[in-house]
Amino acid sequence: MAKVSKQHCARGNVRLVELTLQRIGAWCGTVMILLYGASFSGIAQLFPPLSPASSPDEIAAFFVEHKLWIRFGVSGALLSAVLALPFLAALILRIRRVEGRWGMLSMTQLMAATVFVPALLFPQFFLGVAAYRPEERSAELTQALNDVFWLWFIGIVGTIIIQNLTLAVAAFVDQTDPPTFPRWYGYLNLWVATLSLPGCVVVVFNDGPLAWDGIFAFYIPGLVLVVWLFSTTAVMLKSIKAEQRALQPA
Amino acid sequence: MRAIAAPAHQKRIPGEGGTWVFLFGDMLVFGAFFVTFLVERSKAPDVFDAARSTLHIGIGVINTLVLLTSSLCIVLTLNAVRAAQRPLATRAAAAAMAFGLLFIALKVYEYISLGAAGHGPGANDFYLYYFILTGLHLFHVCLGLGALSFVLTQTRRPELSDTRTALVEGAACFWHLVDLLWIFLFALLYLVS
Repeated sequence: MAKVSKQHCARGNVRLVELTLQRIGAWCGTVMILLYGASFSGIAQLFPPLSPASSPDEIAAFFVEHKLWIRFGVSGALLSAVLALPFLAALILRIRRVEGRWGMLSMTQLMAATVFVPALLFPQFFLGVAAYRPEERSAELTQALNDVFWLWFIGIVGTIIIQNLTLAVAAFVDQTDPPTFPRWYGYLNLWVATLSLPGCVVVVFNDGPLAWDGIFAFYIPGLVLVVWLFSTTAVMLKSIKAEQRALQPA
Repeated sequence: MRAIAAPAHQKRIPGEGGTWVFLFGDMLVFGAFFVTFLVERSKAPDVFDAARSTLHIGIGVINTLVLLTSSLCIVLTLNAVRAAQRPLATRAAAAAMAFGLLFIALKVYEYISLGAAGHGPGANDFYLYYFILTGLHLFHVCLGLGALSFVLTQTRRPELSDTRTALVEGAACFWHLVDLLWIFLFALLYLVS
């Protein structure tokens, strides 16, 4: 009898530890975007973005002048982007809680989330290569590397839209107690998905509001991504805490 | 957060609270687009005004009336749903969708004729903004038609739960937003000189 209750107690503790880890994961999303943004915008000084209409010489001159700062910024971004991994793990487990098993929503989220970190990591290498020896090669090569960075960085937004849509469905079908996602979070995800959409056509435009430095392709999708990360952290923390309270013996 | 039904004597907002997170967010963004357009316009007022006069204002007016009528049909739909007059609700929802499709058809005709006249999105900044803004709005019309087809299926149900009623109201609110945004767009693109 005593043995059974001890086992039961141990299982409860494991569950509480797991939920604490999920809370750490939830925080990682917010911390990641702050560090990533600071590396990218602050250290590498790539905010506001370089114009796609600039001449190769202007682009190359920027890289020659800022090469050390860009390298530091890229290093910081490479390191901070991986903080999204525990964040995404927590997000997937929360969706799994809604479904009660591995279902379509959690699996689709898992597949889309797999691309999230590479989307933040891999384009940075092109920026790193562009800043590696910009004075030793022709300006057009630096411009091409810069193009690859921006088109990849902005244009990959589609997988985030799929993440938003799965989360929206999860919030609408959520029957768990205490609730995993509030319904307004579902609507927020629909909003983020709609506003991120213009990023998909970034390769079509060389200038204007839909080019990579434009309001519709860069500023608005960037802003809603930050809003999404902050609110996702807040929503997950609230529901995990409620779950922990429900688990703890009164 | 989850309770939707409120006693009749209390003030209540239509749809779920969350619907408005989406609607106000969307409005905010269109507001940003409008400001961007006005800033660009102030840089080249002559070019923008000359280009504006090449638009088909007649189609613009008809499309405004089409969307307003469509909004009216959705109001009728909701009233009929509340009064449990299912066949009327179904017909009104179908009419609202038909007007939505008419809007799309007229818009596509307008795009084609502008393109044929050499006024494609690449011609100058005005046309670029015209195509982006109306294209984004057209995308919203398509989403709205999706929402309306949901409303249409719900009018055939004998009884609606509170959640379903709220979803139907939310879809109707979205359709009104699409209408409202078009009125702003029409004034901004076709009329302001």
